[in-house]
Amino acid sequence: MLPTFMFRQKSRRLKAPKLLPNQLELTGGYLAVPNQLLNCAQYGLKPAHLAILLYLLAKPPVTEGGDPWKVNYTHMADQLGIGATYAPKYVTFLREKGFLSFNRNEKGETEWVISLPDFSPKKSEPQRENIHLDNVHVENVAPLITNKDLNKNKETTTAVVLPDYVNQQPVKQALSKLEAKTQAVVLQIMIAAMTKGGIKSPVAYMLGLIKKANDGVLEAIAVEKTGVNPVDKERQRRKDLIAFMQKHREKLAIDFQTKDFVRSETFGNITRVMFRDFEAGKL
Amino acid sequence: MAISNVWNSEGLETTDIPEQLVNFGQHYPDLKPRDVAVLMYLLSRPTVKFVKSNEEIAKATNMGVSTVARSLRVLQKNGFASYARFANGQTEWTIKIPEPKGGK
Repeated sequence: MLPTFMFRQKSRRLKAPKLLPNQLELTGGYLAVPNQLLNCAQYGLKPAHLAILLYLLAKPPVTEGGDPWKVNYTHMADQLGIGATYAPKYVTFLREKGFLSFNRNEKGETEWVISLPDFSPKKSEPQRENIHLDNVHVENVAPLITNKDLNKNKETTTAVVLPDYVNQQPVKQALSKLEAKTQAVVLQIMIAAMTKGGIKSPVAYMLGLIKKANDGVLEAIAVEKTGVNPVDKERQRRKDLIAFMQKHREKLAIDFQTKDFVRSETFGNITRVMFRDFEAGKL
Repeated sequence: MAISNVWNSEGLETTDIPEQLVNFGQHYPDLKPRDVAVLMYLLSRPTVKFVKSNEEIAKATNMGVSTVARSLRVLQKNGFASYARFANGQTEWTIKIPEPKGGK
């Protein structure tokens, strides 16, 4: 409640409303009343209470050395068209609601204060989303690669925009079990595969890649672990096969006259077609 | 007699109520506090696209719906409120403050 202005009462006479700053002032025969006050139900006021309150607020200010304004309940009742016996009751009600209060001074006078609620519009604070930190389990959140990590590893220099399927809960959980370096490799393979197209379920494909990476079957991960490129390994195996065929050329030629393939412990099955390609120099 | 809804410098929306309406017992002896409460509430509402509803007025002024209807009839009788009905079924209310009759 903001004190609006005061007036003094001697015995049962209301007089001398004394103005305070930020008061309602009657200017040019008009009283500027806040619309919220006219919506009196929100303050529990009846129309008669509002009429008395406006009547008191409309009293002119007391000037220095001027004659104090005198009002009494009979005059108030006449002005407001209410019964004279009801006016004190309405004033008491306003006092109970906090709109009116009084203090008695040493001279026996009663100083009344009219207080109004704070009608100034409240500034609306920007709405922020409530984040419940209790629901966040740090151990379940995948340590996704950030730009800082990428720069540290010097693998890429561009930011990675994570696709939607990476944010799926099962993918997040499975991905969190991998190392950060492996995660980057899996993501690169996945993005390349998605760019190529033909993947019906990205989540299932991603989970398959993660499983392969966990098992060490994923080719890129296998290179990382053994340090041997699978292409080089296959090339070396072919060289060894050619050397093996040159060494046992005559024997193989005899065998392939009657057999379709020859079993070798090192190279597995060597077929007649493979020997023919070797002879033609196409192997 | 003009009534205006204005925003003061502090962003507070106010309605200029004439002194005669504050001391309505002297200038408009036929009005009761409930009638003036309804009148001041109607004056405080925006003039454009305000749909009058007795229930809303009753809720705002802490009165019953039938009392609001009775107050509106009193206001019409004393020249504070009037309405015009159009062919499309709409009703346009006009609120004005007549010159004081004088009184006690």
